[in-house]
Amino acid sequence: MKNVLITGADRGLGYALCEGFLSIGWRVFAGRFMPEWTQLEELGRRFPERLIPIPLDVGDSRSAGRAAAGIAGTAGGIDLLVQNAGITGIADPQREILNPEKDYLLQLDGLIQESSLTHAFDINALGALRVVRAMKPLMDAGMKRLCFVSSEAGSIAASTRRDYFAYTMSKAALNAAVRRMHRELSPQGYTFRLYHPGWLRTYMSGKKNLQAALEPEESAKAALRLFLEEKDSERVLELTDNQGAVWPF
Amino acid sequence: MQTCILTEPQGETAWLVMEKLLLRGMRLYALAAPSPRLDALAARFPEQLERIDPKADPAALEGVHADMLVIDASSPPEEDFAVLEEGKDIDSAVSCYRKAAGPLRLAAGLLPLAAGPHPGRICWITGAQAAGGYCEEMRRTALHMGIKLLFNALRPQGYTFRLVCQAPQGEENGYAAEYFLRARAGGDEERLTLHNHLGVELPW
Repeated sequence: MKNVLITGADRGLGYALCEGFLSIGWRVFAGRFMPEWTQLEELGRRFPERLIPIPLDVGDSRSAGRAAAGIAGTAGGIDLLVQNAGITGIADPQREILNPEKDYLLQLDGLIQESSLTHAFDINALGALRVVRAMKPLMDAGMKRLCFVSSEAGSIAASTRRDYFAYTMSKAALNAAVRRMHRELSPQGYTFRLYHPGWLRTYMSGKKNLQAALEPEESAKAALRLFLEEKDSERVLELTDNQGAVWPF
Repeated sequence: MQTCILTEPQGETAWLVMEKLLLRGMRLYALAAPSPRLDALAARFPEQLERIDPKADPAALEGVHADMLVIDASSPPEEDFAVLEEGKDIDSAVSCYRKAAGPLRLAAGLLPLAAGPHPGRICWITGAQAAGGYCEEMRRTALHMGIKLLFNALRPQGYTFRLVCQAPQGEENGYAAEYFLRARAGGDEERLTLHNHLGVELPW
């Protein structure tokens, strides 16, 4: 049986990916950060032998270490990691989201909040490094597939945004970290997938974003295909979206 | 006489830029700590170079319109880690990110000085490409994204942007000042690009 760890599995895309991997026979370690959100428990009743919730705060190296120890004790190792956990980083929407009716320069001080920038970086970029560092010893004997949920928001070349500094900068930093990991770990046989899920109806902003284009389940299907596919060449790292299109960095 | 405000030099590129701008006759306000090197420049260009300590004198730049801002954001983090398995505690790496946030917030404070009917040129010096470990690579990339967001907002208002890398250690970026001063044709002003010390455009 193959094993996967999915971070940020409480809801949204992470939950949908749990369901997807379970449906094709994998054992799923579901990284839980929100114990008050009970959706995973319902999924566990459907797959009692193969869904294993595991507490995991990607913002805390000790939590990542404990999660790795728990997985090692249960399964011995994992074949595939999906680093999905992420935040918008916006603490104060009134200040950090642009009001297009008002002068940009007058709002700029509010748009760039150091605390939001560092918090988003800590979770969205450093979180990936924490989890990979903790899990890598469990992956060296397996399939060695590292998958990261990023965003087109981290594409500098494609960006047309004027705000969301915390989120976009943290996703750009994540992309940079993954590119570096790709250079470092590809010689060891690790393969990488970097995924832009599309604009999803998730709870990232606190409540379900019904204006978004896609339900998480739709994106999870595309993600699953990408995460599991074999490529002719693993030498190039690409940011691929739910339609299979490649985004520039 | 055109006016430039330049932030604390972090490396050789900024010092070269300062000297070349002064040789071109620009008036330069340096937001920099006292240093023998700055004193020497001020002695050579007494009518053009003024050192400002904005903390000591917040009103020092009142009434100044900047035709050019030069923000040196090239200083790497004090600590970094190069290899996933070894190196520094990842949790402490958050502090390196403040060197991405800091220059952007500094720019936010200075940009109103470049506003007006003839918006100024916003020039950035960022870290040397391929230098540093994970922290520096993430910090530099995030900073480039932040600059792109500013470009997206301000280019339509008439501001122009220039972004160059610090030269690798042991080399000079003598190209930067010329690049900051020159106009760009063929639609290139409408793209934010990154150039290295040899004038080569780099991919993001």
